[in-house]
Amino acid sequence: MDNKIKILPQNLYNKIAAGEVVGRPEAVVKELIENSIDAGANEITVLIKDAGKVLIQVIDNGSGMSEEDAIVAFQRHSTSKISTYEDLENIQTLGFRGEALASIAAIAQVELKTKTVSDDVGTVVKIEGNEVIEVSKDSLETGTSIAVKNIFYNTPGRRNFLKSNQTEFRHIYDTFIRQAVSNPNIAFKFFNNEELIFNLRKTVLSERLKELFGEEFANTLIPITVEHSVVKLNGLVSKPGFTKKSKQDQFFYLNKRFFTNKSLNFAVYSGYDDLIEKGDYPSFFLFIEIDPKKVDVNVHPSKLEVKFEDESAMFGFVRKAIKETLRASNITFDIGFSNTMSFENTPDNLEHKKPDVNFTPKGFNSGFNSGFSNSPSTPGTSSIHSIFEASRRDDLDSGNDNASGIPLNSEEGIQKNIFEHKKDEDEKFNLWQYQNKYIMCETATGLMIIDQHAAHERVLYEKALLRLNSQSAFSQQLLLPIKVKLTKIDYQLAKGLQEEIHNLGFALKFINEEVVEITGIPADVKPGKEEKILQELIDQYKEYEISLNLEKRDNLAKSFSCRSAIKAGERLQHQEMFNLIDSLFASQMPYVCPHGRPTVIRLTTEELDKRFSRS
Amino acid sequence: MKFSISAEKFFNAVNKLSYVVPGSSHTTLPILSNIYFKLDSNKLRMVSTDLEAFITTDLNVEGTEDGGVAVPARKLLELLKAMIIKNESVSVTEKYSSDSYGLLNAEGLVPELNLYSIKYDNAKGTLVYRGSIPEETFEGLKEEFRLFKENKGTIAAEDLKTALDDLEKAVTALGKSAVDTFKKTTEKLKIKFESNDKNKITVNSKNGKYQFFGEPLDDYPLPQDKTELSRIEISGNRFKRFIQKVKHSVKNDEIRRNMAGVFIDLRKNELRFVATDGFRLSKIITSEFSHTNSKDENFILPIKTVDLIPKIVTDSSLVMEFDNMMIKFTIDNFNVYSKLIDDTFPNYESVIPKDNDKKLLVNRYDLLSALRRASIFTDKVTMKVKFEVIGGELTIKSDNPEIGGEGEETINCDFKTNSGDEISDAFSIAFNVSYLVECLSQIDTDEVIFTFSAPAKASILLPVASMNEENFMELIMPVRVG
Ligand SMILES: Nc1ncnc2c1ncn2[C@@H]1O[C@H](COP(=O)(O)OP(=O)(O)OP(=O)(O)O)[C@@H](O)[C@H]1O
Ligand SMILES: [Mg+2]
Repeated sequence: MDNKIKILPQNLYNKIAAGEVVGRPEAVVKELIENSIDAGANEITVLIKDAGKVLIQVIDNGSGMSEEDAIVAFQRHSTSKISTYEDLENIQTLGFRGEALASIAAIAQVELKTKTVSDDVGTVVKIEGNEVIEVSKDSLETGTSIAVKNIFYNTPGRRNFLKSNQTEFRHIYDTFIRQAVSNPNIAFKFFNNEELIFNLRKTVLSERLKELFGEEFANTLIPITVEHSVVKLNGLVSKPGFTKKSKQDQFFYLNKRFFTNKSLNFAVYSGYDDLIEKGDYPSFFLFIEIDPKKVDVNVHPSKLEVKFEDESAMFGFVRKAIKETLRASNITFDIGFSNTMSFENTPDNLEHKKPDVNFTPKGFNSGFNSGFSNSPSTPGTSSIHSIFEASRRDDLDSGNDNASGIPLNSEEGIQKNIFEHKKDEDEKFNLWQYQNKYIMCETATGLMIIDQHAAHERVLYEKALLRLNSQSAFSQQLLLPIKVKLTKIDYQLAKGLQEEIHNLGFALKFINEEVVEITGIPADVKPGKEEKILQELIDQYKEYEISLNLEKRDNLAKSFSCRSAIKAGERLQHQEMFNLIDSLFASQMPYVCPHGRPTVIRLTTEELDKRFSRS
Repeated sequence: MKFSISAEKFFNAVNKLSYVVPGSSHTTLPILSNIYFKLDSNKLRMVSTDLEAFITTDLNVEGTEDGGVAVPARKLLELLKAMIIKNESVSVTEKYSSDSYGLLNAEGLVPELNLYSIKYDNAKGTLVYRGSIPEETFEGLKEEFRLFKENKGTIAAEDLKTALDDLEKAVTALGKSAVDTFKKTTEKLKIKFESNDKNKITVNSKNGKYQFFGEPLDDYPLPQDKTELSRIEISGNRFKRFIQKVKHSVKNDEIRRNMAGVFIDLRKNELRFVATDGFRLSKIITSEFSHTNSKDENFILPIKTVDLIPKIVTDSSLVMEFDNMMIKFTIDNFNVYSKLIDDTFPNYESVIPKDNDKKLLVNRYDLLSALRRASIFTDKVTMKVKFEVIGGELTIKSDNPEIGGEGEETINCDFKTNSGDEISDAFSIAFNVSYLVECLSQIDTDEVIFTFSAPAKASILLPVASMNEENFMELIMPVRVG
């Protein structure tokens, strides 16, 4: 049998970031699992006792070692993974320092059992405090088992430094999870004090996440896959609206190596942009694959840090990938009946899939005439009809009876019935307002609940941004100009933003140090708001400037949309609701408002049926 | 209290009085959900109010026992409807040539008459109506025809045009006979109304007998009659038409109270109705009225009252008596008292441009139907359409960048300066399409005149000829593009 492990020459190991490898039991677990993964195992069992203080054992079915390797492996700078400086620049494995086993052997009682495929019998090596105590032969399965007992038995000072079992266990648990996430193709078993905690099958990432975190959580994630000439990003990220108040469950891997990097985390957050509320953080499981030559993993002995050749390019790449994925996906918010949602509505890749027509009425927008309720059938209506097929009420015929006798509730009732009979083609779409706040909308597969303010905000926000960036503002001119008195500070602020405010659709005349005359307002300001909109815009702008620290245009767009959107409590006509939904689903990101709150929640018939125990 | 009265008269009165009765959830004064009834020999006085407006009427009844009671309005109205409408439906017919009907039908030019309970009997060549609320039905039909015609645009073929006009005439005649027949049946039906000193009410007719409880009259608020009021008299129909013509421009919000109503501006020999919401303005003027005072006077009629009066107006004349706080309308035997808006209407005359030097003449039906189509592709929020005039052509453009649609339609027009010279330079201006359509719908003539000065300045809409001694104009503020 060939021996693979060599001792690294001094000039090479001097280049390796050195330092403490084993700070706590968790580090042992990490190093051993990594070794098993590097050895090509597809089944790994981890056993710990007393949070690893008594025993840490990792058993794998990987390559195993020859007898000589089994002994050399415990020496410092002994590794089979690199041998030249070029190798160090091109690390393909998790380990590369040749330090781990030596460090572990120095502070614990270690028993190694290993056998390669080509050997008939295996080798058992016992080491205590770096002293080989026993080497023997035994009949073993192919693979390696390393048992690490009584960690820090020979350095009582450090042993006393260990934290409570609970804490140490938590660290081990986290490490295990990190490894399990990045290696769904490896089956894992995890025993704590002989209790089987995880028994993970070989599977794919999304299924592995369900096993580790529960199906409900896994369902709040959407997959992401983005490829670039030199780098690939894939994994899963939170749907907006399922973000958390803490930075939990954020996993970044570089070529399968878990690492932490604040700047890249921030790239992810910023990819969510206006889809998350401030103070909320998305969960993510992101794998970056990149040519190992373009990164340096040899930064810190813990190997938790990596350095990219072009950090800012990486930042941009991640941010863009997240942004595009979120915008391309259909993220409706399901009412939280657990375990019912599947990934079916989410795109598997970045191909710009339109949201599922069955549920989100994207086609709603196919050109329905919104201006006039009494116009006859117009081209395009048919497609809306088909979306709402299941929700049509056949009241045309039955309504006719009313004209021939049955008294209606009130005089208006009669009037309305006759006038509006066919005026509202779309009356047949089941659409109603709940508490002057939410729009309930029946669709072919269920019920959609829309927050009128948030939805309108989204629509106005995108329009405002568009206008600010394209500088083609529409401004409804006013017959009676409105004079507004501002404080001197607000006046200066408005003046400083003159160009942007113009692009937003205002026509302003700056009269003197305090008075502004409005002669035109953005065409999408709801009539009745023209009096106050400028002052409100300025106030909101100032508030966001402090609280959100937004960029000028974004702030203006957000302020404008927030202040001029329909408020909760405003009664909406059927047509207005229809138009709002129409515009909402024509927007880039219909499912969240500019502050990241959901605009739409859905309740499928399926879910209802389940709730009512119908089958 | 005891009296009897024809069902028709009684229903009509209760119905009209109910217009101001607040819904029970909307009033803090429960007595207001009742109608005040007081019988003095053969005169029944009825009053209803929401405290902002009062409606009163005196009905001639056959009284047998004087007294008074506050009667739950909704209950009484429902009951009368059930007694009358449910049992007394009418069936009337009107001739209409089956050739014409076939012709229209083939071209898809028959409005949806079946929605109004009208069927066409091909064999007999008659239109048939069977129903029980003819008045509302035929009011609705009038509107239906108007919109139908606007939607279809100009119908070029003479025979089709005549056939459609004839159909409208036939339907109108059908409606008239339905209303008359219905009146006759319900006139004959007698209602006996009784209340005792415990306020128990009994309503009796050949269709049944119903009992329920009323309230004592004690604290029912009554309107105050004032003397020293100015007085205007105008035909009821004219008033109704004027309101109809300007109402769409009334400002629909609480903030600018001075625009939340119709401004009635009395000049020496002119009576003007004006409304504006700051985006458009509608103004109609007549000299066909009489008034007691020769000085200029004006008031703002709140939108609620603006909506109410046309429901009460009849063919006969209407009298308005007012001071600067309130107004009293007299319409036949009904009186309506309303508060006025205590504010100053904007100086509308100064904002109506006098220097619009470009004049566009275009067929109104063609324009309306083009706009309705164009609006399919307008941005749903801004509702913007663009006019581009060059030579004898008006191009109407709409686009919706969101859904990537756009529309463009060209119609013939006439574009001249005020002095009648052709304008050869291109001119373009954009509008909110819904404002445009609302304004155009109120113009009566087949053709309409727009006047412009510049793309960001007010545009004026005029009928080509004034009708019925009336002068109507509308103003629309454009949407600035870029
Ligand atoms: N489970 C295993 N199966 C097979 N070979 C193993 C296993 N564990 C360790 N080895 C061998 O022992 C060598 C030393 O392991 P060690 O963990 O000390 O160093 P490394 O993995 O090369 O580098 P690092 O210090 O970065 O982990 C490895 O290079 C590998 O050849
Ligand atoms: Mg290792």
